[in-house]
Amino acid sequence: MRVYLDHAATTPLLPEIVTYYADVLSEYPGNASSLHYEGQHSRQLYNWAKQTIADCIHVDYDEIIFTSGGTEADNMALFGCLKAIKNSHPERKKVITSSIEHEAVIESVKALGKMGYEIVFAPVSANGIVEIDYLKQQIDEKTAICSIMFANNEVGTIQPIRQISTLCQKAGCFFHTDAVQAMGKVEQDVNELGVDMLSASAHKFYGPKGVGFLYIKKGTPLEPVFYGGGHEGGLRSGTENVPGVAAMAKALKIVTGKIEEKRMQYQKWTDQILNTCKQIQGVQLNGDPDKRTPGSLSLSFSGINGEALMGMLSMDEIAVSTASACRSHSHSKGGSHVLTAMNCPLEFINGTIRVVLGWDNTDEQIDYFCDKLMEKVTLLRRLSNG
Amino acid sequence: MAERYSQELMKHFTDPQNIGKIDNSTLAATGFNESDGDGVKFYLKIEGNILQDVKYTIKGCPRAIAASSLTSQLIKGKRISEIMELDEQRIFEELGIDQSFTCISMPLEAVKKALKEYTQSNQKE
Repeated sequence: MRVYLDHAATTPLLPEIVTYYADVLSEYPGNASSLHYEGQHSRQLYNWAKQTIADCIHVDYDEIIFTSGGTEADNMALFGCLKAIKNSHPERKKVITSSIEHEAVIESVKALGKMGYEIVFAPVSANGIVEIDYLKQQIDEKTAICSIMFANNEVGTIQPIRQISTLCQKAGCFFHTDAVQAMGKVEQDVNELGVDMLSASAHKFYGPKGVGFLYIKKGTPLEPVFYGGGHEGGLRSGTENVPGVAAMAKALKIVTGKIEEKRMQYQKWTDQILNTCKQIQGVQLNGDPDKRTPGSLSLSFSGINGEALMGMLSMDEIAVSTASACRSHSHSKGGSHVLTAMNCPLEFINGTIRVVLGWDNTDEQIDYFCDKLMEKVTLLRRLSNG
Repeated sequence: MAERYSQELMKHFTDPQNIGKIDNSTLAATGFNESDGDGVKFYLKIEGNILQDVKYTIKGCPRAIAASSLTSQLIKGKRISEIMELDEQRIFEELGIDQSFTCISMPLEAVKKALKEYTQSNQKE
């Protein structure tokens, strides 16, 4: 029995999406920008996809821009918005983000630093929640944009987005959130959140890889980051990926309709896993115990190496991920920047695995995982204790 | 796993040899990776100039566990002089790992360092 518990890395296509995606690939060959029948046939589906996604997150049709995924959406939000306000707001040279963002934001912000922007990485609490008081001090009239992730990809902690958007509104700066890990897991009423821009990626909610979207609130200035045929209102050139966006829209519609049902199911399974951890002892749950995406667990085990635990579980057909690459490797990026920012002791960072549940999991799989987790941790601790 | 780790490495990782402690060991050899807190401790039982028995405890990644297991097999029953001539390169080659991983060489380096000190100390006496 294979047990996939790495749904924060990617999710498998839902079976109905596999069928639908294949059908669209063959039935909609036209370029959505062509004026003939094939083109317009594809255009209709493209428009339906955009409207469906807009409805799922409670925004308007023309506030959605399709992208190749979360990384492009994040880059477009940061670089595109800054480019658009460069001349109109030359005094706004500060870019604020958190110290636990995904690399798509962290590396973009670092690049902006090299371009002359003042960059600020806000600290987080031990629970992985961004320090609001620090943001209150930093978000000011010199701030151009603030980008804080909706939910963290390693520990699942959900950030106080509504509170941050209020701070940004008061300071007159733009607010972007990377919602890649939250989309399809947490109800998204984007208007209610008050954000100016929001990124999402289809493969995190059972859609295909290579497709995502950026929500951009009406009136938010944005310039394209690359140029071509002027697709997506001139903001994102490139032939429309009709099968990709259609499958993404279909997947989002399905998962959005079952958020509460899945939340309850994941709660039962995470309780079961955490009860197993209590029996194992010497286990720490990282991140906020309550404000987290359903089904996300970052677990640190004392006295063992996370990569070894991942390897042992993998031998028994269980897929989890680690928070830390082997630091002995000369090319290693080292331990988790997220857990480091949360002041997690090195001993625990090194012994961390990430377990993220998904739609394809079953009661039987979670029972099997719990048994194997206990067995492998015991075995590895025996190696270290003799 | 299969692509990242060689068959030989997996063999040692999933079934590490000579795990444990020796109560009346002659000396201990410790290797430690300060950057991540991983480490290995060898218990060496020496009779004459021969390493009669070896056991170890380890907290480490799959590579470190496999390298410790292989090291223990390579040194057990050998003369100290033979162990001192062992090249870490052999561990890398047998486990199919490139030399950028220091966790692979750590176990043998720790043993050789301890044996060198032990030999020097004995010579002084």
